[in-house]
Amino acid sequence: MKPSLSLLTNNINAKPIVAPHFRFGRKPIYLPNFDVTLLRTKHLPVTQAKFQVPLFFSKLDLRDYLYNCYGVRAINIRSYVKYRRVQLGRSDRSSRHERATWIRPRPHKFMFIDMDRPFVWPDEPTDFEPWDKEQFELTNEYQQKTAGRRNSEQEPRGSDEERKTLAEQARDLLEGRQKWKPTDSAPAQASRKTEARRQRRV
Amino acid sequence: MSLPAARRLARRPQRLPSAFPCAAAAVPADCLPLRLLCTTGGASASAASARTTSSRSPGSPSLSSAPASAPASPLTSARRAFSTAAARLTRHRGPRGDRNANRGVSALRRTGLRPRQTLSVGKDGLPTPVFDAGKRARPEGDEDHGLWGFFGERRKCILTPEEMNAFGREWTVEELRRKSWEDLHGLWWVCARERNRIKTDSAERQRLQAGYGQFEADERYKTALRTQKNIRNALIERWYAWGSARQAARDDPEIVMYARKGEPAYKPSTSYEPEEAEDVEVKAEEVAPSQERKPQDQQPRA
Repeated sequence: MKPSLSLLTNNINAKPIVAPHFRFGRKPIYLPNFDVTLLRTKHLPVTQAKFQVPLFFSKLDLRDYLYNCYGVRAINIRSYVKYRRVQLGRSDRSSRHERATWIRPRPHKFMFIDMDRPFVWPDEPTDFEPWDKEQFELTNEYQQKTAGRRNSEQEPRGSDEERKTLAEQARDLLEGRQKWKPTDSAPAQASRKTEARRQRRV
Repeated sequence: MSLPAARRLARRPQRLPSAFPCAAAAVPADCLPLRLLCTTGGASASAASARTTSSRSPGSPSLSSAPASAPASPLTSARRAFSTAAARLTRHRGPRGDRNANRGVSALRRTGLRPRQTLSVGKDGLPTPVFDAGKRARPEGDEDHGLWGFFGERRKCILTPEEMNAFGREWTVEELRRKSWEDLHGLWWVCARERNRIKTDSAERQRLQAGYGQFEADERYKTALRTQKNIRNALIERWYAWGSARQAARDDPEIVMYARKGEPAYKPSTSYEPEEAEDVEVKAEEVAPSQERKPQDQQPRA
């Protein structure tokens, strides 16, 4: 039988500990260095809860952890691992090679527990003014729009605006309204047109 | 009955003309469709009737010109079900039947209940579903549930950035050196629970798309991490100081490392004769090495 963790919590839990419903493991963990996140899941009944746990966690680990650290009796536990998409490197890495390499991030592990007592989450806030939600969304939108540009004034490559201007120039050339000249000798009229369009937009 | 057997039976009418050449020629059109035992009938039976009708030659004899031995055949009796099963098996009802009350009742075939069948449940008093989520009854949770440990004292869903930012500095190694193992262990678990709280808060804020607050949460998380790092450092220092004290005691000839019960652990050398004037200082020195033997009293080096 695989021994589970027996976490020694030094009696930091103020509430009275309920009677254990399982046999403790024999492998004490004194200084755990991981996070267990409680996640709100709307469709769950009040006697169930969902957690994100480290990848190495087993169901027995979570059962011991919740009992010793929070005084929660997990009667039954279900677990699944959610794999993640392949992504292009990590932007926080300094090495160019690491940023340009396709990687698959470590998957996430989730566990559902059944409890003998109901737990209801606190209400969601209705007013998001303290979090400055409007400004946050505007900033995000702007950042997504200007991502990958050298400066904020530069149009993104292959944008609709650029495509329209190019098509207009091509049409002028083909229908003879515009005579092609090398740009070294004289600035093309089309580029002046583009400049005027940009001025109007600004 | 297994499915292949049912299929075999359903295919049976195709071979019917060859298996019963005389009877097939004699069966008139009004005896069809054939009802097959244990098959759904339906399409296959009507298809079989169409095939049997078309295969009949226009010059076949009519019912009146059937041979005299025809009534002995089971097929020739009007409106009799066709079956290859033994005759006693086909009698489901009556004194010699199988007395199975649920014969012919199938949930798979959606036959419905048999006549005058009663169930243990009824349609009366069934709860009405409430489709509007706002009108449903709200369940009550326990006030002293252990999962409240994943929230702060205020038991709020998510903290505002101001509330999240209201925290102090981390514990330094200098402060932690003076603490006992019980204190350090308890402080470690306080930090572990705080980390869980911050992660829960961040996950909920991202789910709600509430806005700013990730920076404050990250700073608070890093502070808890730094406290834990300092606890580790203080414990590592203590561990090495204990090892050094053991080494020093082993090298000291006046200290007995493994003294028996009742035997003094400190034996001063006999050659040493203290002067009268330094009597007090010698007593103080005697105390110091004896303290050094106990690892739990050992103060770590700075």
